[in-house]
Amino acid sequence: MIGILIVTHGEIGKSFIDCVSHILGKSINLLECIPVDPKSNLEQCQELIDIEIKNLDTGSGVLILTDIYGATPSNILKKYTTQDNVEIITGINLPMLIQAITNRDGSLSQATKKCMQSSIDGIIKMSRKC
Amino acid sequence: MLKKKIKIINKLGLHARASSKLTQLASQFNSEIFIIKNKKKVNAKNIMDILMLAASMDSEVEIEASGSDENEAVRKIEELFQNYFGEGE
Repeated sequence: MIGILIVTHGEIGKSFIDCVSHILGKSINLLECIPVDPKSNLEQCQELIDIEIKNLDTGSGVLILTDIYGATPSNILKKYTTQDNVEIITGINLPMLIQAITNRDGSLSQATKKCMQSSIDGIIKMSRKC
Repeated sequence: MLKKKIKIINKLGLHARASSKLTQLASQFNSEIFIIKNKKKVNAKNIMDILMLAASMDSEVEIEASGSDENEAVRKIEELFQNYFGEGE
């Protein structure tokens, strides 16, 4: 099973986990989050991420979801962009996370593609003003 | 192949939690199961596909199942809709 790690500004990641746990009606295995705030030390964050990657990788790899590309959480994650057992996607939203949680028995690369597609499909202009 | 039309009677329609319950139930069957609304046909075992139907109260969907346990699958899914997805309204 693919592990999932959320690295975001502040407590957004925890809120995402609370929300999907409610939607899916259960606590979710191999899903963790790391908050990054203005006082966070870059090296300390990377130490935490190293530990979580080890804990979450049961042989299928780890999918890391973060928020804004170019912001501190994603900059911290640059260290992992070439790591074999890790894929990283920015722009986390609930469709992306739900897809990640409900499709984690295949390959990491396939799961990554599906998550990206779901996150894009989930953005729809609902209003009908001219 | 078995098909069955169902009217959505619960207040919140096929919202996130209801869709989750539907996919969890559908995933228990070996049959291929689809939900169809306005000619859009999606996999009943994928929560995001179901959510994208945006099926609200009073709308009608069709269940389509094909496989060894299709009868049981359609019966149980219909039951879930009729039981308001266990939400009481």
